[in-house]
Amino acid sequence: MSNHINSKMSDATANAEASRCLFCFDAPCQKDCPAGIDVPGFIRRMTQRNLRGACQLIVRENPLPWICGVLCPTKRLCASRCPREFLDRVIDIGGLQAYASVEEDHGEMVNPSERLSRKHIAIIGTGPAGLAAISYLSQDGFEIEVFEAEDYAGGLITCGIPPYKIDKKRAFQEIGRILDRPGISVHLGFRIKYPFELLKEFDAVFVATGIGGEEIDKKFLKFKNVYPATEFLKELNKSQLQGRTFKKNLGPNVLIIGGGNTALNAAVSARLLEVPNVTVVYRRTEKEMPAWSHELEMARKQGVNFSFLLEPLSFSGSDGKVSQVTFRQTKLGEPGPDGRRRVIPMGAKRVVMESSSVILGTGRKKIELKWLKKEKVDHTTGRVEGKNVFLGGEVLHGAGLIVQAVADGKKAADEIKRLLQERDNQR
Amino acid sequence: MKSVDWGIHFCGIQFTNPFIVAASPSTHLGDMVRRAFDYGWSGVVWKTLGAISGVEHPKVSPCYAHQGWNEHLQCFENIDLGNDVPLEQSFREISEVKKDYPHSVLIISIRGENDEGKWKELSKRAEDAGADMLELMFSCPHDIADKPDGEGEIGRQAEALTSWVREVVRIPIMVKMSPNVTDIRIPARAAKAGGADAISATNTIRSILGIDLKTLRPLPTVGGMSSFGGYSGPAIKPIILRMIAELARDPKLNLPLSAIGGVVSWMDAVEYMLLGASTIQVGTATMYYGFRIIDDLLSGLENFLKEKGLSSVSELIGLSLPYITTQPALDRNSMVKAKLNPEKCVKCLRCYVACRDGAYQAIEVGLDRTPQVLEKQCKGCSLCTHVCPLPGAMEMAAR
Repeated sequence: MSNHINSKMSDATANAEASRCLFCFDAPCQKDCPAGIDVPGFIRRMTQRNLRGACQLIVRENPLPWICGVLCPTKRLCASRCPREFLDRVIDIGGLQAYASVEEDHGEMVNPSERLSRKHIAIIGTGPAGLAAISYLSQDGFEIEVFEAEDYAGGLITCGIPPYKIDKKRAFQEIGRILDRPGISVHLGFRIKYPFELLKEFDAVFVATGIGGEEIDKKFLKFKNVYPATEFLKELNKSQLQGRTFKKNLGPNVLIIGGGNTALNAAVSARLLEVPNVTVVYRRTEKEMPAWSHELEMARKQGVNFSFLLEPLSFSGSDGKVSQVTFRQTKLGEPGPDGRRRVIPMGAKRVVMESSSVILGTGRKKIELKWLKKEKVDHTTGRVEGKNVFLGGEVLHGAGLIVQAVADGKKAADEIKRLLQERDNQR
Repeated sequence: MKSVDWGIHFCGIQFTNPFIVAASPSTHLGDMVRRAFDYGWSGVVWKTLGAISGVEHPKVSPCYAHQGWNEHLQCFENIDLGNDVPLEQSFREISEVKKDYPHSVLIISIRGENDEGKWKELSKRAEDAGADMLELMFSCPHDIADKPDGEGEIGRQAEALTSWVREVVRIPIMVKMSPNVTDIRIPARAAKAGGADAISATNTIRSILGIDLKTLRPLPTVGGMSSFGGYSGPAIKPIILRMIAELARDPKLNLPLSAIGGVVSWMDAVEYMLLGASTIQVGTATMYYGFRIIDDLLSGLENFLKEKGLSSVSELIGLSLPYITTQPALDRNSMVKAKLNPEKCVKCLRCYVACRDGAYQAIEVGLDRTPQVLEKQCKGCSLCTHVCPLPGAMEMAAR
C-alpha cells in the first residue's frame, strides 16, 4: 500500500520548512515532546546540511525517529505551542523528523559501549516501550533476550496502527535496526505467562505487553460478523504483512460503533477495503468524540458516514450473523465526573440499521494482569515492589501514544540500569 | 494624477529613466541589447570590448558560482573574462542597434589594458559606430588578480588611460571603479584629472565564493582548478552603498555617479539614488531574472515617489547624504531603550538569549514566557529588535 497519509517531504520542502524554525530559547516543542527530543537542535542541524547530526540528536532521545515522525499527533504535542503559529503556521516537526530519519541509517550511528556488563535482561513485548528499553539497554552493553507473543515485532506499530497510516516495510526496517544489534536475541511467537519465573535466569525483567482490545459484551460477540475494532485491525495488518487478501467478508454495509480514534481507523480501513457503505454510529455528538480532528477529517475525506446520538440496544439476525442493529435515540445531559456530557436515553425512540457486519470500537480497556497477585507496582518507576521486574508503556499507564510508550521504555531502561549498578556497588 | 517625470540628465545625455543594464553577458550581443531596450531599459553598457593580452580564449566553463537559495539571488561570483564576440561583429551590431534605437543610450565598455594605442583605437571605433558614451574598464578583479593594486597604482592607471581616451573622442567618458581598494576616492579623482565625465562604481569584489566540500575544490571549478573571481549580487550592496556615499561626498570629485552593486529591487535603486547616484546599473539581476524586472523597478519607484510627494525621479539624488557624519560625531545624548509590545510577541525568547549572550543581560523571562525588559540594565543597543521574528514586537523607543 503506498497511499499513506504521511508521504515523505521533498528535499526542497524540507529545506524550506527547516528554515522557518525560529530556534526558540527554552523551546516549548522540546518540553512538549514526551521523549524530550531537542527539536530546535535537530532542525538547526538540518539547515546546516548536517542531516546525520540531526538524526543523531533525535535518536539520542527516541530510537524510533521515523515511526514517531510519521505517527505522532504533533499538533497536540511538540507543535502545540510552536510560536511560529502567531507568524503564519506551526512547523511540521513530524515531517522534518521523518525526513531526517529517512535519509541516514541511524542504526549505524548508535555506538554500543563496551560490554561493561554481563547482566542479562529479559524484555517482554516489542511494542514501542519494549523497543525503546531494548535500544537504550543494548547501548549500555547489557545482554538482552526479547519475548514477543505475536509472530511480528512492533506491537501496536505493526499490528494495531492501520496500514494506510504508515509504510510497514519501512517501520520494520527501523525496528530491525534495534533488534538486529549484537547482544540481543529475539523470540517471536513466544508468550510469557509468568514474568516472575524469568528472574531465575535474568537479572531484570521489563514487561511491556500493552493492553487488550475492546471490552465487549459476550452477547454481541456470539455473532460471527461482529468484530472488536482492535481485532479487526490486527487481522487486517497480519493479512497485509503475510501478503494475503483479507479473509473477513465485511459485506456492503459496515456499522462502526464508537467515536474514538480506533473506531475511525477501522472505518477508514473498511472504506479502503472498498466497502461501499461505512457508517460510524456514536452515542454523543461530533463535538464530544474522543477522536482527534485530523482523524475525523481523514474519515470524512474517505467517504465515511456518521450518525450521532444513537446507542446500540440489540443485534438481530439469523445463522449466527447480525443483519440489523437496533439503536436507541439519546440526548446529552450535564457533564459527568469525567468532564464529558452524560448520555441520556430518549424514551422509546428506536432506529434500526441494516448491517452486513459490525465493528465495535468502544474503547481499549486496561486488562487485569493475572500474574500480578498481591505485589504492588510503583507507578512512577513502574517497578514491582521488591522485585527486579518493571512495567512500562500501556500495561502501566493504559491506552496512550506511541511516543509516550517510548518515553516509558527509556525511563525503565534508566531505572533498570540504576538498580543493577547500585547492586553492583553494594557488593 | 500627474505621472512621474522619469528623465535623468547624465553627462549631458537625456536618459528616459535611471535604469541601465550593466556590462555583462546580458549585453554581449546586439539582439540582447535590442531586447533590453524593448523592455524599457533606458540604456545599456555593451559588454567590454578589447581582448586581454595573452588570453586567447576569454571563456572558461563553468564560470559562475552562487550560494544560498537558487530561487532568490543572494550572492554570485563569476570568473568570466569578457566578450568572445569578434570585434568586427560587435562594432557592426552597435551601429545597427544605434540606428534602430536612436533614443536609447548606448554606452560601450572598452578595455585597453596598459596599451595607449589599444585604448585610443577601441574608443575611436566605438564613437564612430555610434556610441553615446564610453565606460572605461580597467578594474576587473579577476583579470588583474595576480597584480597588486594599491590605490597609487590604480590612480596612475586611471588618470593615464582616461587622458588617452579623452584625446581622441568627444562623447562623454565614464570610468568604472574597482571596489578592491581601501580608498575609492583616489582612483576616482585620478580619472577626473584624466578627463572623466562620470564615475561608475563599482566592479565586482575579488572573492572566493566557497569550496565544494565534496571535492575540496574552490568554486567555480574549471578542470579541477579555480581562480579568484568577482563577487556580486545583493550581498555586496552595503559595501557599494558606502563607496557611492564616499564618492558623492568628496568635494574634490564632484562628478555624476552611476551605481552598480546588487540592485534587484526598486528599493535598492532608491537607496543608491538617495546617496548620490544618478543612474543605476543592473547586471547580475538581469542575468538571473531577465530584462523583464524593469517593470517592477519602475512600478515600485513610481509608487514610492507618489507616496513621498515627489514628481521627478531626479529629486531623489543625494537626499540622504546630509545625514552621514563620523561615528565620534554622533549624539551621545540620544538614547532609546527596548520596549516590548506584548500583544505582538510570539514568545520565542530569541531576544532573551541574544541580550543574555550578546549584550547587557537586560531581558528576563517573565511569566508565560513573556520577555521583560529591565530598563535600567538596557543600554539601547537594539540587538533584540534584530533577532525578533515579528516586526514591531520589540521596538526601540525614546526613554
